[in-house]
Amino acid sequence: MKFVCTECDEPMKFDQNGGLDDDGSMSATFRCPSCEWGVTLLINPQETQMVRSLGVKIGGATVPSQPMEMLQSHLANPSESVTETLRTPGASCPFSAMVQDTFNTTQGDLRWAAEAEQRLERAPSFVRAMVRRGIEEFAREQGYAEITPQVMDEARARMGM
Amino acid sequence: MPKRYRDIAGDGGSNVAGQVAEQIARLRTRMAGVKRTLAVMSGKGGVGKSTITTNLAMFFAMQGWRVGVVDADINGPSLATMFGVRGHQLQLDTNGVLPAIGPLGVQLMSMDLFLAEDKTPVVWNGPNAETFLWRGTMEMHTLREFLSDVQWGALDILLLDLPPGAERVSTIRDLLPDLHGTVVVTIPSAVSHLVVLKSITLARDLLHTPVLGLVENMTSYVCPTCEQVHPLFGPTSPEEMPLGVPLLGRIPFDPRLAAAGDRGTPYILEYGTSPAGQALFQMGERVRTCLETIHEDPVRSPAP
Repeated sequence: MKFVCTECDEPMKFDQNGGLDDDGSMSATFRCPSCEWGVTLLINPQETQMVRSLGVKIGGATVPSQPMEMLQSHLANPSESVTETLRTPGASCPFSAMVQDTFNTTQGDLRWAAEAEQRLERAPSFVRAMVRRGIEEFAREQGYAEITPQVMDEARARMGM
Repeated sequence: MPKRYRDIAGDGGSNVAGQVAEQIARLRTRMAGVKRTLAVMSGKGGVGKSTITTNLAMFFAMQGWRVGVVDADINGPSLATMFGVRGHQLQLDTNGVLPAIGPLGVQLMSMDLFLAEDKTPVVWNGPNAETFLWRGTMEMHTLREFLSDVQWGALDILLLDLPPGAERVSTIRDLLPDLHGTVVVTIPSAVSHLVVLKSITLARDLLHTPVLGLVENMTSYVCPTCEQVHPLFGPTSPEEMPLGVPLLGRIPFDPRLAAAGDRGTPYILEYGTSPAGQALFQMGERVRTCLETIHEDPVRSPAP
């Protein structure tokens, strides 16, 4: 996929990765190097997953890929020995780093209300851990001991979601 | 005149083509240490591909070959059990993952080594809807990582146990354009032959993959009382080239084959003198002869 600035007849360059949304969609901005006019590509969850399944990084790879990087990033239910042994630091690419975040475990110092857990279950499975972590970080900052739907709403508002 | 896709070099910064090229280069580098690659396939499920793969691996190891095995059945992996290495703790360093080591030093990589429990299916992180769009690609790249990111070292042969169906042959052919051969497994039933024939056509005629021959599994059984041999599915064909490819072996049914697989002790190691054990040895000898012949022939699979 390539983009051309029709005014300048110049190929556009990748500018920034807008990151992964909680529904699995993402955005990437390309910009004309001559007039700096930009266009943001909005990618739906299936298209995002298609790119992920190719084992490539949007915006380019800044570090060489790690052995078994795709498998360890994408397998939803790996054995404990795999997660302990194989997990390696994520690449500097924001996209892959965000995906890696979904595998990070959360700390057990916060209590989740049943309603909040049910609500979290509605998020796509592959972003659930990331959403959970973001909400827990917010709750700790605010000094909450329990995460309720109201805390989730506050966290969403803070994150601009 | 607006620019066309081919008028623009690069892709604006992602360099997807370069990333894919890096994947392929990594695979080529890893496979440079592997003398021969052999896929065991069948269009039909339940014909004993994994049993044949396991015992073929053992046969080669008994000849002193350095043997690696890839369980290419991503969704239904069974070889970790059959090689007795389930629960193996995977170890990783910057050069890749160390394979599990089975009997006679045979190296194995299987999806089973990555899953949490017996009941755990392979589930990928991704959108719950329309998984058909990307699931196949994910499995193909998992297979690529099994080949390129495992520390196989120097091998005399790398066996690939393919899942049922013909489509994985295309994947293997893309990943390993220098694949040395395929062994096709069937049972002597008309239904199995019908399905397997399509796989042979795809592998040999469309993908130009060298098909070494056919193994007919479960052809007969030996009566434990009178020791007479009886056909299991009906009479086998007297042809030397059933389904248009050389016959590599006919393996009689032996309940101990399944039991050995369940125990993780390859059958040929324990029952090498049994009728099925002898048939497996003969099959191995024929496959080895085919491989050695092909290996010396630089034009293994000429396109028509």
